Amino acid sequence: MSVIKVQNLCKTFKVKTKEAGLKGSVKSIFTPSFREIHAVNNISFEVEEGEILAFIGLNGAGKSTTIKMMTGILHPTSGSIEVLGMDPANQRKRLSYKIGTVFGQKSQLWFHLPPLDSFNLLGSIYELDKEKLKSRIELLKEVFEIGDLMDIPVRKLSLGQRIRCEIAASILHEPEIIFLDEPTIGLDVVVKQKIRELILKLNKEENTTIFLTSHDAGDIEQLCKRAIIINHGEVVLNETIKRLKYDYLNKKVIHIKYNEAVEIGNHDLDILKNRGDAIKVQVDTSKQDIEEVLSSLIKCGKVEDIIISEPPLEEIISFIYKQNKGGDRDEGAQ
Amino acid sequence: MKALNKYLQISKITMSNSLVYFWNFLSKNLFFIFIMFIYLMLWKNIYAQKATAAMGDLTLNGMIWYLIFTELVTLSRTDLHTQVNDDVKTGNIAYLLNKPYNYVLYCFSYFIGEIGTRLLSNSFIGLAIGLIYAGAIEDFSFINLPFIILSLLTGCAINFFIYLCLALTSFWVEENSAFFWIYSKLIFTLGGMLMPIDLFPEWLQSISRYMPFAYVTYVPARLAVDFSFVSFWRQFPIQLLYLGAFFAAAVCLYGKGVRNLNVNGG
Repeated sequence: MSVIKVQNLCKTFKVKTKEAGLKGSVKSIFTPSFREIHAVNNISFEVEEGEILAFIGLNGAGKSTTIKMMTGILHPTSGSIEVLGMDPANQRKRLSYKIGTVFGQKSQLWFHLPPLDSFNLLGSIYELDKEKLKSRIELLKEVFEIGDLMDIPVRKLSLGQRIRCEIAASILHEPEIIFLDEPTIGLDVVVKQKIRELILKLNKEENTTIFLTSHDAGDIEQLCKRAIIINHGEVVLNETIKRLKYDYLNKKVIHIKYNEAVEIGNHDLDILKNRGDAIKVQVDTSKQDIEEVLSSLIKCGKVEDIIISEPPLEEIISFIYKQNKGGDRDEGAQ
Repeated sequence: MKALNKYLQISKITMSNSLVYFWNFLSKNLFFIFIMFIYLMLWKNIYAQKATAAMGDLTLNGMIWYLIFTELVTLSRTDLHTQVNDDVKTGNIAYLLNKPYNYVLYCFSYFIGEIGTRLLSNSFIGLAIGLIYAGAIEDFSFINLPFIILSLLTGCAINFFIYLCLALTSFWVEENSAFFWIYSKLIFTLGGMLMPIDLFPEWLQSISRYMPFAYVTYVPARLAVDFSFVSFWRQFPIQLLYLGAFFAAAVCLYGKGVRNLNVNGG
């Protein structure tokens, strides 16, 4: 069952423009000029109940604008959105009881107060019963391991601790859908992993639909089953991660270490790095047989170690962008 | 009941939060002492030069207390409007709209939470200044105190909603700091902060008495030093009318503005 239905969604912003210099400044007083920016341009997609969907794009691609329209913060210029059977723009308040949002760069916790104060306030805002709120806080304290952070002012928490509290705060009211806008931004590898585990747990145990935007390929690879890639406000790809990898991941990287320096006889190989006793080779499996490449490499000398890896998702995404580059529109303008 | 409780909780958490800045706004009270000292010097001189015991039926004692009350309203003002203004301009307001509450009521609850601590601390300072500089208020009756407080709080609330309306203009106007400046000067002059409007020429007095500015500062301050139930029942309903009008204006401005919200990017 689809919990989010987006059809032909568009959002156009009017931005004031001004010619450079003093003359331009004077002119803009009397004849202000505006330019229309199509932040979201005719996108359509659906999200199934319990799905973890990655919504990927470069800065200014239209990700956050789309989330803001799906949460009722912004009104679409045209097109339609249905979230849990509701129209976000006209039923924002009703919808907000059923959805949660985490904007990685913005906090919903009161900066100078301990998280518990914010949790209690959110409990009142979402009109939770006292008993239910208490038991929910206890559960989240345990799941998110934030029990010992609850009485420390938010400003004193590390970024990782704060994000854990942010996510816990956003699911206090047991939302059916949670919108995570770059939840792991600025976090170190260990904390990122922790956050990913928590998101997976949330999805599995509470069947929460997760709508995730992230620049981190690891988030997408480890969490999501499907990805929508947008660029210049348009959907350029809507595929399962598996398919994405299958279609775009036909390149493998072989790292091979010998016990002494070797001479590579096969001149068809795409050698990325050659240190003599350690070689990095890229193989396009659509053109070359990986088995043949491996056996020719093994024949070159005594192998100490061999690793076959896939290029990171980020490379795949940038490849897709290059494939779909729609002219030379200004990315920053969006 | 639950719907009302959320706004009460917003006020409570704002009050807790404002206590974090307790020493900061206590230090602002030093300005209160300073400005009142200047006023004392000024009005002492004016009364001496005029060789009169009362101006516009206010003695020097009444004048000093009157000015303390006008300052009490303006110095207890919260800075929420600057936050709202910045939030609208920077787009941060988007992150406050995804919760099930009415934004204007959220702001008002925030104001209630902050005004409590501010008004209380300023009242102590004001009381001390008044007693030291001018002595007790002449002919003051404690029975009138609840009505004076009511008028004072209503004045503070009108002031808040006017500032909120001005802040919400940032949905349409790129730079609106001039509006705040003009309003603060109107309060200073037509609101009777510089001098009671009874000392204005007749024509200006009649204009000022119809303007909302007088109901922010002049009316509660005048009631504090010269209370009568007749003037209370004549002026308090007008205060309530202005409060309702500016609340409705804020709701309207917000409703129209949020539809045009331009928050581009994340």
